[in-house]
Amino acid sequence: MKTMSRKVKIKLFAQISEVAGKKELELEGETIGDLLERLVEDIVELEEVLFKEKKARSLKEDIIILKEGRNIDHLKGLDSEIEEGDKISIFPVVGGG
Amino acid sequence: MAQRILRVDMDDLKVKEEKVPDKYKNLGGRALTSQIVADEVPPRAHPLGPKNKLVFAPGIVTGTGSPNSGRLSAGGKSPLTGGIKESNAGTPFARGIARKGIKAIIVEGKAEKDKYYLLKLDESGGELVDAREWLGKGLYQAFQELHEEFGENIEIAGAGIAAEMGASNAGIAYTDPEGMSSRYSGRGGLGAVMASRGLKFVMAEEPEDNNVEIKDEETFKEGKKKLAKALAEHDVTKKDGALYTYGTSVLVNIINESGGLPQRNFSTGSDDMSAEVSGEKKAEEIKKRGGVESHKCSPSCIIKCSEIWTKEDGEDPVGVLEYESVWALGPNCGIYDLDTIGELNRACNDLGLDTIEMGNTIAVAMEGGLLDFGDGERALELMDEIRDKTSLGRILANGTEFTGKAFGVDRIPTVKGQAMPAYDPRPIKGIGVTYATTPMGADHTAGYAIAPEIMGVGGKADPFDTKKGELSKGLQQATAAIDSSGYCLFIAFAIMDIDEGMEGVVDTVNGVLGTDFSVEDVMQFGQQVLETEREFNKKAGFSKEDDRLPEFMKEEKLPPHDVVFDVPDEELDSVWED
Ligand code: SF4
Repeated sequence: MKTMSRKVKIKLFAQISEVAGKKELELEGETIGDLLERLVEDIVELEEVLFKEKKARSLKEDIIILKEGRNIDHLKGLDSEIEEGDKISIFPVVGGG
Repeated sequence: MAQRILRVDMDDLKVKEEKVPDKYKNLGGRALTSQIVADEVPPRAHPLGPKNKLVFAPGIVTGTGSPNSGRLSAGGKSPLTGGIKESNAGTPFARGIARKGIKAIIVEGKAEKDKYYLLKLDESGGELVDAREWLGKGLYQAFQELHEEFGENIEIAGAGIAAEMGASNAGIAYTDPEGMSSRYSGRGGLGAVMASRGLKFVMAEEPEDNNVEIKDEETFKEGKKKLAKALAEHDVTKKDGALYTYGTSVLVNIINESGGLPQRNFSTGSDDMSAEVSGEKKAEEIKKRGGVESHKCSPSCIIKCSEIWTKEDGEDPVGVLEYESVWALGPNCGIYDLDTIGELNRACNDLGLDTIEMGNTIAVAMEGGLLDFGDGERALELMDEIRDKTSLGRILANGTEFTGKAFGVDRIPTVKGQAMPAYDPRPIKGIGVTYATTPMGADHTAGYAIAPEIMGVGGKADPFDTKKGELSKGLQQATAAIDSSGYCLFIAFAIMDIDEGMEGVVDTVNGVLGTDFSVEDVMQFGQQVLETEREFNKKAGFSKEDDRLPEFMKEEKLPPHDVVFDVPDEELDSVWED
């Protein structure tokens, strides 16, 4: 089956954008997992912010990722597929009220 | 000194001390205000009439050295909802009265027409002195003058210009640690209940001796340690965590990105402009202006969710700019400029108005054509209408529903007459269940489903899932218990995830009271508070048909997710059915 990379916009927030030194970037990938791999290749400082361990790619509990406004926890997690033009937003866990 | 209840009789201007009856011994905060209101106020009483009462009660652990314990409840029958009201605030005033050994202050009766008094609490109870010189004055100035006259160390609770008009959106302002009128029992119009009794201010100086009795020091200390540890560990509440770094309005971006940040009177859930008023943006600005970044509402806080907002030159501090206020006076009115929002917030603090209700009121007036969405300048002029007590000002000060009716608007985001906070319930269903079913009218703090639905704190729940009755109920029970304890609700982020933190809360409460409540008892305690409140509301004329969201939210799809509020009525009713 032919798979295609799709270009999406990634928005970074709060401490994550401070670590990355930018608020927005564009990347290509097929799943959220792919995208994050590319993201930490691009900005290595984000690796330990986002992932628990280097090898076993599991997200830290204090990271929230939205795909088009939906938390990937309620989609397919890192396997959630992305579509061309999607907006991906990455947050540290926040609180308030 | 034994703990006592102060009864302030405004009919004959006497302050009496009473022993704490056994039935109130183990209550505090919300549990105590709601119980006293249920026991003493006829549910059908007119909220501004002689039979309503205003009750202040610090929480059980307030005044101790436990972290985040500086909270106070104010209660009465609400002029806004017509039901029972508890409005919780963090302020040094809470500690001040707790350390005097005051378990509750009950204000009853009504002074002669046009007479207003200041209640000065002292060692022998308190005295009422003429306060008419502060009529028509803004609260910033009034608080400053009171400090000049009575000393820098006094803490104040005050009713403002809106309250003088008997307006349903009049809150009670309290001193913040800087002495400004920026801390509020904002919701539900309790300021009008206060002023309609003829009471303008309550003043307390913290005594040298702390009269909060701790029955079991050992258990208390153990608990305090556990709670402090949990707060220091949890990602939300720890130092350098998001709350500390960006304040509560760190939520602007995430709720906007989630499609649930209401804009222009709940007509869309997201707008790129919102980034202009986000917590990140605010922190950046505060740094530029040389302001204090992290700040606390009351002395014992270790989370520090607040910060001081100033004018552009770093002068004229407003006090805090909370998420809810930023949203209500900002995006919900199509206003995306922090300085305008800051001035609108200043006006609310000064006039004695709840920011959530006021923002919604302006938005509904915008919808009704009184002014355009985004017109901050005109919005500020409207605040002067209230200051001048004009007819228009009186309409606006009576809140969202009243104003909506006055301007023929059919999209009015209220439940039980109280306007919604900063989360649209259509794409975040659990918070909608709380808005609909809490005895308080639309209130996010009553059962903060946003934690599991958006933040994944205290479990993970899909915001689109409509089965939220149980989730909301559990949160409402836990909240009713925390609001009674004297702890700030924000400890919930840590204690929902870290068991030791929850144990710490229960241990400290047991330490103070000499009781042996278990963690399991917490929900039962909360449930009892809720039942007392619901019973009052029932007798006041509420039924399950009032536990509903406004019609337009079931009919009108909210962009960008294009969803309506589709939680079935049976699910809403399930919250209170066994
Ligand atoms: S976390 Fe915020 S609201 Fe809670 S006690 Fe601290 S400053 Fe007050």
